[in-house]
Amino acid sequence: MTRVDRLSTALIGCGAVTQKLYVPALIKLERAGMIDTVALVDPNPESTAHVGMTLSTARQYQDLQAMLADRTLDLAIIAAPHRFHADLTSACLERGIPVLCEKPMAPTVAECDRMVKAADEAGCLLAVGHFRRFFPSTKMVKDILKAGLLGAVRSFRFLDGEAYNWPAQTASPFKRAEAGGGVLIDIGAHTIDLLLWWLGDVAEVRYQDDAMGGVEANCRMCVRMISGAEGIVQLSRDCPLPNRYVIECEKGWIAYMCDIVDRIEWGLYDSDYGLNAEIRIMAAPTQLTMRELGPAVPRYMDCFAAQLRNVVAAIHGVETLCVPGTEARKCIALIEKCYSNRTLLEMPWLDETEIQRAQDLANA
Amino acid sequence: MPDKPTVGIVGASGFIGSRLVEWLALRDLAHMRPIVRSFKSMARLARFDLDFRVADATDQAALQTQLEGCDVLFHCVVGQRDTILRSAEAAYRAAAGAGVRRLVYLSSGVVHGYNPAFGTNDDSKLVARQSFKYNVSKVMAERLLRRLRADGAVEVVTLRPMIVFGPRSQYFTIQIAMDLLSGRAYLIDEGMGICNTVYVDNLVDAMWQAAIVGKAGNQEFIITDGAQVTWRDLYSAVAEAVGVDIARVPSIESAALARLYREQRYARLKIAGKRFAWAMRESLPSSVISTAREILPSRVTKAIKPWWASFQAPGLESIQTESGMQPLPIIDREIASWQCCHYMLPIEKARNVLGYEPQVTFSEGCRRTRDWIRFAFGIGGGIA
Repeated sequence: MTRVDRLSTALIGCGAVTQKLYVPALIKLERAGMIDTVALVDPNPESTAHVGMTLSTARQYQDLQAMLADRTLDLAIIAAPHRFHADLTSACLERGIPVLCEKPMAPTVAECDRMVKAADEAGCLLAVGHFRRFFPSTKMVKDILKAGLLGAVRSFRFLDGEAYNWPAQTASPFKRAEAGGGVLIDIGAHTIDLLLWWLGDVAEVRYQDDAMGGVEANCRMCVRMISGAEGIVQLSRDCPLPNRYVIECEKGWIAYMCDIVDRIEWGLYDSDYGLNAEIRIMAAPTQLTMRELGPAVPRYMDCFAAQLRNVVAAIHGVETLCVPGTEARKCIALIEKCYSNRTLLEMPWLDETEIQRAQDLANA
Repeated sequence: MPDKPTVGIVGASGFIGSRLVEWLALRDLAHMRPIVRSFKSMARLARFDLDFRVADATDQAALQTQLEGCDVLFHCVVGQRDTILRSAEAAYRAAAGAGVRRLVYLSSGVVHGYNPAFGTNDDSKLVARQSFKYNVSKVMAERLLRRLRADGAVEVVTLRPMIVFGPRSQYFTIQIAMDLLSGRAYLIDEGMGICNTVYVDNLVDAMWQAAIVGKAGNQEFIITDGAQVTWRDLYSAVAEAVGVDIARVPSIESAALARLYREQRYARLKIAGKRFAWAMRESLPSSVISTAREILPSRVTKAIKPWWASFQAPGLESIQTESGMQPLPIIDREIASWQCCHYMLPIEKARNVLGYEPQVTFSEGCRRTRDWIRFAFGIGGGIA
């Protein structure tokens, strides 16, 4: 790749997700000669300075417009709090800058539509950071289901949760006005993206959560897919759930374990045994007729970087974009539907007086 | 005391602190100011729209700022010895500086030991010589607060719950469930030891009484469910929730504990030895190994080959099996000590002074806990 092919990239938002995930990925891509990180933007100078210690060649800005006036960019990465996604993305797209926006795409469908429209009008790429699609494990599940190896999907149970441990630097993730919701729009954005990617569109959903004037820490969805498959999605940032997504098909089952990138489990109903299967890269065909497996698959952080590689390759026109804005919009549409039809989570461990008051707070 | 006092809650994101916040919010009893260590600790509490504050519980100045205007401070901080002591002192001094009237300090029944002597009550001498650092730290914190409160600036009410169980209890609900599911659970003497339980709702009820009952100032209270409960009763309730047959949980005789501890210690030493040998083998350059093969007589290399191959990092269970020991679950001294209790702590003082009466019976507490476990472990469920 020549110097000309290195994309001048701005990182907008220098909080926890940037520090934990984007910075290591950008370093990888810089070393691979794919990008140059030229600008860091965050209203908090301490945050830009912190990120700037690692991405030292990037210039630091506290204001997006000042940066846009100052730099010519090939890519903008939006990793700011959710409520700013639409404005920041649109501002970049309107200047003809392709955007990778961190998930969730935006708190509302209206904002997603605005972002998609801005991308269409500018003729620019808009990608959304549903990076779990880049895990070999989730891709393997997708491939096995698509090939129909286990027959049609009958039901599913996705349980994803643990005590919240993300190094949040502000109270933003816990305020509805800023985050758009709680656990559903946070980790649920990943879960719902996988649900839609693997199993297609949703026909009907019923939704409960435990928000009582604030944002939910636990939620449960009962979902019927257009394919007829029915299942439950339960999410928590309060207590440790089994962290397994199990899909029951006609002939057997398959399971993805949260954030495990190189392994899936699956089994057939008429067998006494199941597979705890390590995923490896398929070996290149050789003159031998025997099929073989090649090296280990990329690790978690490499999968995150793979998302950026896909965006870069799509900008160069050599790959199809894996998660365009139009695809991510479906996820927000389902989340919005859940929130608009929400009922209070059944919590039989509370007494009757508490449940009544909880109802009042939830409906206020 | 105003009709609806303003209360600060330090350690608000933990198991008891968060239930206190929820309990008060769902009764609209107080203006609440939950104080947490970091933003990420807000996740569970943010279900409610409250006046959250962020401060380090051991930082007196930071706490004092957050406590301005509070009538009562609840201290529910958990941690190691340093945190226990520093947060107790910081809480008292910050409360005094901010004009807080009363500090409700959550101590523990372990200040009387895991197996309190017969006749122990709220006013018994604290047991300072104990094997477990946490218990000693709680004794030291109570003594520290007694010294501090001598200045009369803040009334301190100290509560001593023992086995606090219920939704979100890490030690006496979640851990028991996980041990049962993984086959690591065990009972001592068939689980017939006394389990001085307090369902978490009863405890927060007592905490509220401690905050509002005038005559409770500068006193200590043991808080339990006031019912005779055994460890088998508690384990049975959790086992039912997770679908484990309690009859299959092994029982260990308390008389055998000393021998088992010795055997476990020996097994751990053996593991350490094997791991060390394994690490040595892994770090040896291949040239050294091939040279050794060349220079050592073949009968020697043949003789040491199986021994050499056995160098790997084994688990305790495999060592137990190798050494002919019964592959029992690994015995945790603390859990075993809890289960060797033979004394039911009294709650007469709490009844008489605080007007405390456990509102949730043990069986109802178990029912609620079972329902929560089934939710939290993703067992069953749908939406009606």
